[in-house]
Amino acid sequence: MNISINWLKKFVKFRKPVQKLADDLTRVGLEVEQIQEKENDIILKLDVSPNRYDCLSVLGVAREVAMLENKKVILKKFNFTENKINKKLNVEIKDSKICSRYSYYVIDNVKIGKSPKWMVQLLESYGFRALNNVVDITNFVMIALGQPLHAFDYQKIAQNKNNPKIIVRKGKKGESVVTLDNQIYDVDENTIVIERNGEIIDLSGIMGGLKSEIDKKTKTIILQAALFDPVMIRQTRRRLNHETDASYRYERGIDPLNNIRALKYAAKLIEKYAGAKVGELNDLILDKPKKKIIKTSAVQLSNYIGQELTNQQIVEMLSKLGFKINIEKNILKIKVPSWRLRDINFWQDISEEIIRVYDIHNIKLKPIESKKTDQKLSLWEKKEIIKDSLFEMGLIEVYNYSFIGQEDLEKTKNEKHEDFSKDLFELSFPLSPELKYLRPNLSLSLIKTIAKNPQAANIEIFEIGNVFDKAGWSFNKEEASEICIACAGEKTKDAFYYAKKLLNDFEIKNNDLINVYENKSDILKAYKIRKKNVSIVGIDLDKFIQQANFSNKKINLNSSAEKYRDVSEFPAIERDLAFVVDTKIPLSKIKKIILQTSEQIISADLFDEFESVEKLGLNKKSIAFHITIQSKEKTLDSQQGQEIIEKIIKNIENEIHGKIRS
Amino acid sequence: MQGHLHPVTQFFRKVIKSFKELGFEIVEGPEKETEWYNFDSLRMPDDHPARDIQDTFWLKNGEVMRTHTSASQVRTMEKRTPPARIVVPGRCFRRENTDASHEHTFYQLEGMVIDKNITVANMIGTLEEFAKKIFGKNIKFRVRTNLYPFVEPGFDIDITCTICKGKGCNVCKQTGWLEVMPCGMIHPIVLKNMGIDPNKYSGFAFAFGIDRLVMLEKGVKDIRLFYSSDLRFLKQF
Repeated sequence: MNISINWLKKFVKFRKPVQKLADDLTRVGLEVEQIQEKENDIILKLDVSPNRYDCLSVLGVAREVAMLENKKVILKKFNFTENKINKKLNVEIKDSKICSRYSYYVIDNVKIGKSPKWMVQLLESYGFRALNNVVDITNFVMIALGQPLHAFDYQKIAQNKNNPKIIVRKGKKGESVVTLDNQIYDVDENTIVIERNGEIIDLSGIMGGLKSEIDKKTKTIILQAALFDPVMIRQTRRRLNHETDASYRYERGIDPLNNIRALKYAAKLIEKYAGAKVGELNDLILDKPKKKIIKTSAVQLSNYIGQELTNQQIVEMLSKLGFKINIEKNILKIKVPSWRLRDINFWQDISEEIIRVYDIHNIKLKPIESKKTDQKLSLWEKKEIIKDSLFEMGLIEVYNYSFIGQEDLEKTKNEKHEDFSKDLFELSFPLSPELKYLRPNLSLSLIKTIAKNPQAANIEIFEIGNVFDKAGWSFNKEEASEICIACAGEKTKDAFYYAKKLLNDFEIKNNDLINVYENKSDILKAYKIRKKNVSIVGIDLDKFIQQANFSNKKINLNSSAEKYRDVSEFPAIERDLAFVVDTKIPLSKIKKIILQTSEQIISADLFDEFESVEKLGLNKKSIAFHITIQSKEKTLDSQQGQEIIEKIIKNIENEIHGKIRS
Repeated sequence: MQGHLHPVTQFFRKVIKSFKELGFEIVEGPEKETEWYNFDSLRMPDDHPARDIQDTFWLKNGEVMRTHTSASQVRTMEKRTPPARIVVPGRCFRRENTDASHEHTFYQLEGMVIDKNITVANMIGTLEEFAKKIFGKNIKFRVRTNLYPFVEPGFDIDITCTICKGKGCNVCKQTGWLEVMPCGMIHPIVLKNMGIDPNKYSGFAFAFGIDRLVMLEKGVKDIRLFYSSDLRFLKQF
């Protein structure tokens, strides 16, 4: 919702600087996303949440400003003459549920023309295209007061009859309507329509029909301000994927006691700018909005907010927002204003209104105190401990999407499950064909990871994640968790080796838990994997946890302090360096020295560490790193790589007296 | 070879540790959810515009990929009685096109505290204290009222942008603030859906988007890297 500051000032007087006002509006729930300076005006871009439909108008935002500034909203009376005109309209409403109130004027002698320049400019800053004075005025009043209006051409509806009739009713399957944008829309029983002589002339609450459109020749109009059912408007808008400024407001809710004000304002403007003669007000009220009273007390509200509040304070604060309060024996009976009826239902809703006025920043905060917990490990902690074990073995953890594509199924097809797509969960509207099904196991994810990393000579990875299949053919459940390990490359071990080691770490003797995924050469070929020794194994996490011994195990909470360095597209140089250093020097310090040597050092991975008095001497250790050097801008040649390596050696010598081991 | 844990894994451990110290229980829920747990039980019925806040991956069988870890609120509390302190870490999904700052897959940490006499002052106090632990003692806060249909009142807690220190930059969209913690008092209808009497108990709930916090901490500029399984990326952590 855009708000013109000049327009806002017509509804409420304030002097506060715009930036300060924007901060306050943001705090009370109308987030100001942007402040746009125009030639003679400032436009605020507000993000209005669906429950604050009352703020989809200048009047609504003015109410919030009035609350913040302790001012009153200025509401003008719209004076004009209502005339007797002999053009009549008969309106029948079939069901009060679809339309609780239908108010209209017949306006004669209308001179269709251009709108005044100021109005055109204002509408354009709201993203409306100016059309003609009548249509522009309906839009202008909708933005000002929040009530959608519509103008029909009277002659096109009457077709020379004296007392034409329209019917507001539910649509029927098979009916359709052509709207003002020249599109045909199908109607169903959840659509509100207006019928004339068996023909539909209006997609009510969303867009008017082309058949009753205002054009240059229009002389007489029907100006409508109706209250339609929000749920039906929403259903139809969604079904037709046809959102308009009117449907946006109807769907969220509109003030049921505001339509006459809007109708009169528009009629007055049409009288003024189209030289027209306004007829008598027609107001069909089928259902009046019910009074909504919420009962609570100062004690209840204070206890919920955590701040002592008196009756008087509460009455004062809520009155600023249009609530009317009666106090009987310390019970607050709070009457909800007509523009908040859909949103405010519980006393807890009242607490939010109080906080908005009181300002949350004035409340004394009271953090909860810590409590002793059950020392039993949660499932999540057990999972993390398993990850630690795999991490200790030197594996890299990967996260893959939970979705796979049709192509993946074809690439991995085998004789047993010719087409197992019917066993998979399928998305209704996937973002792309590659993300169509939920993954039935992690082996596919890890094959793809291997395929995506051709630059890495040797890959040893794992993933722990959720997998899904309807038949439960792998895990006896629709949704299960799997531990999956994959290795690829000449210098790697078999994934089975790590799985076995993992079972050992948790004292599981039963190797049956390990499921070896077959990787036929044609599958690897389909993913363009050229690496040797590809092996993948999976373990059902549930079964693993049931059998595992977690006693004396704890999560390792050391996290890496490394800041991320951009991955480059240029080839990397990889070197192994071993140093002899004092045993007291921590690994992290050595790593830091290496990484600080050059921006182009992408990683320094420890791969070997040992102490030996015979080979290295007393209090010395050997520590070996796999170092990756890469530039973001260019391909490094071996000499440039060598220069960096020499710098590392020098820094290690200077800072910790470490010696390179040859 | 040297092992590496995913940066999101590492961050989760750090965050969950401080909740565990406060006595929170760690619970998980399914990623594939029913419409009831993900939406309706949280007052986001199909016929209300509040449903449109989140773009959803629907499955052909009518279930959804959970759009938030809040889907585990009612599911978790059905099996428990208050007092309760619970965090739910988990993977969530939204039907969004991906770019450097948007992913259809992401992680959240949900939290709930339900007891007698839990107040708004407890909630904001607890969460601000937690945020100081994670982002540093000198961080400033801004609390805004906002709509989350399953809480009342509902808020967003913003912190001063850790990149520009509040001056305004691309990361905070020039506002100087980062939205880090949506929270609110659990709505009485949601408490009822959990089988808890809202006249006896009250509680608060909150959620963090983990990916974005890791991006801030580690200086990662593209959220898609987390799910790229690019080993050159993962080896750095």
